[in-house]
Amino acid sequence: MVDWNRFSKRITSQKYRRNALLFSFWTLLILLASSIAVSYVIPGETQQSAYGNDWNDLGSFREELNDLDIPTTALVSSPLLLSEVEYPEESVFVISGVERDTISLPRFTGDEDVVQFSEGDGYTSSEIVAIAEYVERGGTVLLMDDFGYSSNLAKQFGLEYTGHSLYDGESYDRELGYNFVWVNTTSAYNFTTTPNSQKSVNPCIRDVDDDGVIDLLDGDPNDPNALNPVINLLNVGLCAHRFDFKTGEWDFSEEYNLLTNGLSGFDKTSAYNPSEHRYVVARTTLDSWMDNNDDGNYTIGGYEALGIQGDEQGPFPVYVRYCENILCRSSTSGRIHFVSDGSMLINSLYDPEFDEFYSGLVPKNDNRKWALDIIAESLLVADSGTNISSNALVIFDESRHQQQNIFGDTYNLIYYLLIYFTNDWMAMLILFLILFISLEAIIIRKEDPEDWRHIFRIIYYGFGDATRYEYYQKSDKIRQVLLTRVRNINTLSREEFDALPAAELQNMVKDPVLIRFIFEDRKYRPDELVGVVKRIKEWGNLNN
Amino acid sequence: MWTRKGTILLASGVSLILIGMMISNFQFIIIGLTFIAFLSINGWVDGHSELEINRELSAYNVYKGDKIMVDLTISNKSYKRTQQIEIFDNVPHEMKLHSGINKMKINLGPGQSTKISYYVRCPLRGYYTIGPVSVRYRNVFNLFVNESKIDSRSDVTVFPQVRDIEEALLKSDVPNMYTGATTLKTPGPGMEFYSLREYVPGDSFRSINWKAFARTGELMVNEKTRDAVTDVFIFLDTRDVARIGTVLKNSLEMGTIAAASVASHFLKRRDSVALVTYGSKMDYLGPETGDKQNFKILSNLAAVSASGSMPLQAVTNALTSRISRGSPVFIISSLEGDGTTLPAIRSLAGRGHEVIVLSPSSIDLERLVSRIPRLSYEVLKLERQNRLTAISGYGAKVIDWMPDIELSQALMQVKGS
Amino acid sequence: MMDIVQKEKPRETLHLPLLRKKWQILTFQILSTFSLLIIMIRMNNLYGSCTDEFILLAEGSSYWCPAYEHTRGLVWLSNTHDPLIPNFLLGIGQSGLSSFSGPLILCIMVTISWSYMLTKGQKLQNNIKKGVGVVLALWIFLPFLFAWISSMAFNGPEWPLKHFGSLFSPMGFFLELVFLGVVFAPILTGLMGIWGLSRRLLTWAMGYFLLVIGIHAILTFEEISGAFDLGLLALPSQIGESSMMGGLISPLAFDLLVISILLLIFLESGLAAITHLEYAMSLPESSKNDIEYIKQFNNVINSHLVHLVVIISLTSFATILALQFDDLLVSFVGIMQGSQWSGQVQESLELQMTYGKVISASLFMLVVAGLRYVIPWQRLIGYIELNINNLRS
Repeated sequence: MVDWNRFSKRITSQKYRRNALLFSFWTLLILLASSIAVSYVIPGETQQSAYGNDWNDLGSFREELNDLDIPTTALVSSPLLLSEVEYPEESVFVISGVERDTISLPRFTGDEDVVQFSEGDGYTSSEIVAIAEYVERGGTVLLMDDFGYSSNLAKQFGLEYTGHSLYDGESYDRELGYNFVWVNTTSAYNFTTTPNSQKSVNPCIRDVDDDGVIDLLDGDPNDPNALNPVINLLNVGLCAHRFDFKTGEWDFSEEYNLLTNGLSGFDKTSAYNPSEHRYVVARTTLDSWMDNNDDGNYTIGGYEALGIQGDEQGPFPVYVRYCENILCRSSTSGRIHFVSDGSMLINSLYDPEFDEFYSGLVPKNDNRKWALDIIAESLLVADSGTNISSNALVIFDESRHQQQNIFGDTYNLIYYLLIYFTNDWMAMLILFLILFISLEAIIIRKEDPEDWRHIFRIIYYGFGDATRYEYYQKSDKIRQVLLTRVRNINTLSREEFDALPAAELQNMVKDPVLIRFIFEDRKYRPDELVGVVKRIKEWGNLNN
Repeated sequence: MWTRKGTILLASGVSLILIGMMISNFQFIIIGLTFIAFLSINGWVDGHSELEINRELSAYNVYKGDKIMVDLTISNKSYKRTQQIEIFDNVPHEMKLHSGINKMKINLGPGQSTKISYYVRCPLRGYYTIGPVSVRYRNVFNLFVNESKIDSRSDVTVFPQVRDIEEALLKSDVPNMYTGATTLKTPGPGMEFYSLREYVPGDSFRSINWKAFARTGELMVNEKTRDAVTDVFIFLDTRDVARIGTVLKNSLEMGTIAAASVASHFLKRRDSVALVTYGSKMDYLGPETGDKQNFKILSNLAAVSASGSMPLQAVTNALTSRISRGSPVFIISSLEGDGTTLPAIRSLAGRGHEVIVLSPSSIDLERLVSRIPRLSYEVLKLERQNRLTAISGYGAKVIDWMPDIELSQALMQVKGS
Repeated sequence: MMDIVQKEKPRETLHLPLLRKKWQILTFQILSTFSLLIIMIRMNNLYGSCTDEFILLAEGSSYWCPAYEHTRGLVWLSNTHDPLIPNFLLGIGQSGLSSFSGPLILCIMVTISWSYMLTKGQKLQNNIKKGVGVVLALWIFLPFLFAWISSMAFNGPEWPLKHFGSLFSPMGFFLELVFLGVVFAPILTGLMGIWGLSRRLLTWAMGYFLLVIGIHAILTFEEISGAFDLGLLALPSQIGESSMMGGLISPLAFDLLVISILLLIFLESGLAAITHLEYAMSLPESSKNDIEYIKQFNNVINSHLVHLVVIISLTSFATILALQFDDLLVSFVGIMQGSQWSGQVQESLELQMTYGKVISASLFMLVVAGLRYVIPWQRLIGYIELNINNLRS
């Protein structure tokens, strides 16, 4: 049988309550930490990392950049750090696949909502703002994603991913399969619908005087007859991919034949908007279709009545360019290249020779040329040659790629939290509050052990029944005391005394005041009682 | 354990680093890092309490009000320095530090030792324990603190004071009692010579009278008279009501002093003394003589505390058969709240025992701690007088012992019947 | 009853007047004082300048920016009225360390007077405080009242508004004190805390220094200085290349570290003296003469000195290494070839920025803290000490 009294006493005791509080606190903390960690620390297949060497990583691209003496760096925590980049106009931020969702933390919106509590996917609102500011400051972003979490980032610039797979009935690689769709653009530098090539945007094909020598290597870019240096390995610089060393010819073409793997597309209606500086560079063919119902089959027609969403027919924009300045005319203005395929630059497509296994498997494509053109366009901002300045930098976003082990994820998480809490205003405010409250809590609650000293302490307490004093002021009690006194002095037993006649009692007492006191049962004033008690004392002493 | 300063330093360090990062200020970051480094390095230093403690007291049994010297020797037997530690010898709060101090801040190297000496005064009787020794390691910069205890204890017994009452008893109106050893006219173990007789096998060789042998040529032994010893019974009231008064001055404290003094007096005179305490239960220490009995009585008296409400008559009824005929009986009680006092005393007197009632005045003791209205006080006094008168009416000698009167003076105020 | 054994009175005792002359206590106090003064000079070097543009805008006239510096404000004030305190005591017209000497003399004099006043009875202290208050009040209001009343005597009743000017002269004195106080308030409180044995004043001084650094940081923060340019010269945004101490630390980091370490030394030395004297004060008279207590007091105080020197040195060294640990971490990670994560970390932007420094420094501190479980250094030192003692004996 459970002793409920004892049980309830135990559970309401201070020690139990303290332990329960501690347990709740630690449980909550662990749950909170786990919920953050779970969204961040995700074991899974690693891919699309610039520091990996698998077929689906971007290692070859990065290595080639390093071979061109372009410094590369990884961003493992958060794009919030882009604000720290000193020369954004000479840097490129490469996002290849946004595989990881963000942690939802509240933030100030700066508008009438004041605070926003839930975040979108992929990047937090603060991170999107940081990327946008980076572009505003002249940075170049290369965003390659298909089914990842980058939709919010695209939305920031008015672009929407369809989120479905795109297939092309004709323009796909027969050997590799339906997933490998060819995207061809003949005029990649014609941003608008009117024929007006902006090839001057790309310094590797910019030749104002059309003398066959790009302006960066031209002795006089405006004079076709000017003496030009011989183009060789030393001076070709970042534009080496455009020069055929065997034939000595320079490739001025504006065409790209891009091979994609698992292509998606952008929303047709919002992709092209010249007023918002958004230009579609490449589209799929008319034979392409968007698998809206994700069944892998081409199901076009009226199946809505059956609840089956039909697929959409192309062409679809798959490569959109956003320019901070109109038509990207200024070399130092920011731009973003949106591509709806995250694996454009994977090793197997970028450089099939990277591994013997893939050699001969993957057909020749312009993915490499395209990527290096973007790099050259972004980094060659000065008209001083084809070599980069010391400020050039290519940053690979590794913060949204899964790591091979939990330690790597944890390390990145720590960085993420650190950068988030020291860069985002809302987070900074929360951090301030936490630090302030912690400090106050420590100052108020934390106590040092008291100095030892001997305290001489004898508990003084009285033991008297104060309530009885009143009783001893009553006439009845005083009468009783008097009578007992008379009895004791006359050595009578109780029975003898009780049987005593009144006259004899009076004789014994003799004192008239006391006799009256004995026999008169009335209310006595305190001063009268005092007098009576005095007389009793005197009487007692006399008789003794 | 982290101290307040250590915790604040850690929190400040972390805060400074984070704030420094927020506002891109290197000074804050470096100050924060310095604080953290300071804490980390200080964490290397740790004190220890592997100490050997040896405590010596000047006396383990003292009388109330006496001083005890305590010598505490602390040795570091470890291979590590103790670092800065505070030693505190736990002294019961009922003891007062007379001189010196029972704590010290030390830093002992390996093999080193030190000594703490102090005096304590014991104003209250009872059983006390000095110790254990508390050790607190405190980081030099007050960042960490660690406490432990070393279980080294010393027991001290504080006996009630023993007053010299011989003169008072002689001068008082207390009827002569058979005190001390008296001789009876019968042969037996004793001191005085009774007669000579012939030696029989079994007699002690010590008792052979060699002069007589030289004279008569026959072995003769000395025969002594038998000594008779009186049993003195002391009844001490340790009921809850004996607590009336202050901690230092109440019926029980006065009673223990009286019991100790009376017992000591009679034991010196080679009487046997028995002690009966009654309160929540009855404790009976049978009549014995000598220093051992004195020690037992004092030890008992040191331990008594006021509790319970056992009536006197229950005690006397239980012990009637053990009280030898003619033995004097001392009853030390405030006589408060016990209606069986009169019949008990009557019964004892009726059996021929000489009863002396030593009654600390509970009303005057109560007056030390409570404000009694004058009228009530007088009436209470009258009532008490009645009670004492009644008791003396049964042949007992009653002493109304006022708190401000010494025991010896009180004993001289015996009220006979 | 036991008698107290009479012990022979030792020459050295733990009485306060003797302890205050003890070399260990004096060492603590002098160390703390020197640290305080050097902090002042270092902070003036780092935080006492205005930007070049601000100076140019002043075009040769006197200018003031909220820097940790006292002469600019006083010069600006002296343009409007003659300062009450002589220039040499204010440091006006002097440069470099000389500009500090006058105010320092003032601080020392105030500290001595205050310490002396503390030794007197409470009644006298109260009287002095009241007296000073009365004198100040009279000095502020008396001229004003006199001017007003005498004006009314000649011109008839009038409002006192036009005589408010006479209030400003005493106000000017307070402004001088304010400008002096910007730099010397913590010096004064620090000195009073050290020599007057006040913990509260020591922590106040420490807090003030941190406040100055904080205010400087906020006012030079990009977002704020962009909106309100007060002309304050900010610290360099980059920590710089490690060129000092064999490539361990950059000059800027070294300067900042020196200030941090000095703050620690100032606080800990000052508190050390107070703590030990407090302990001695708490002992009864008999213990103050007890040889054992004196011996152990010496042990404790000597070990405190040793700890102070050793731990502060190790702290400085650990902080220097912590600041450089990111390079080591990068090299270490670089050794781990083939791993995607190692490649990312090696080239990570974070590691090149302050974040990397902070994370790597924190990791280093964890390692440092964990070393106590790895190296039984206390036992080792104990063995050495024991053997030395055995040899001596």
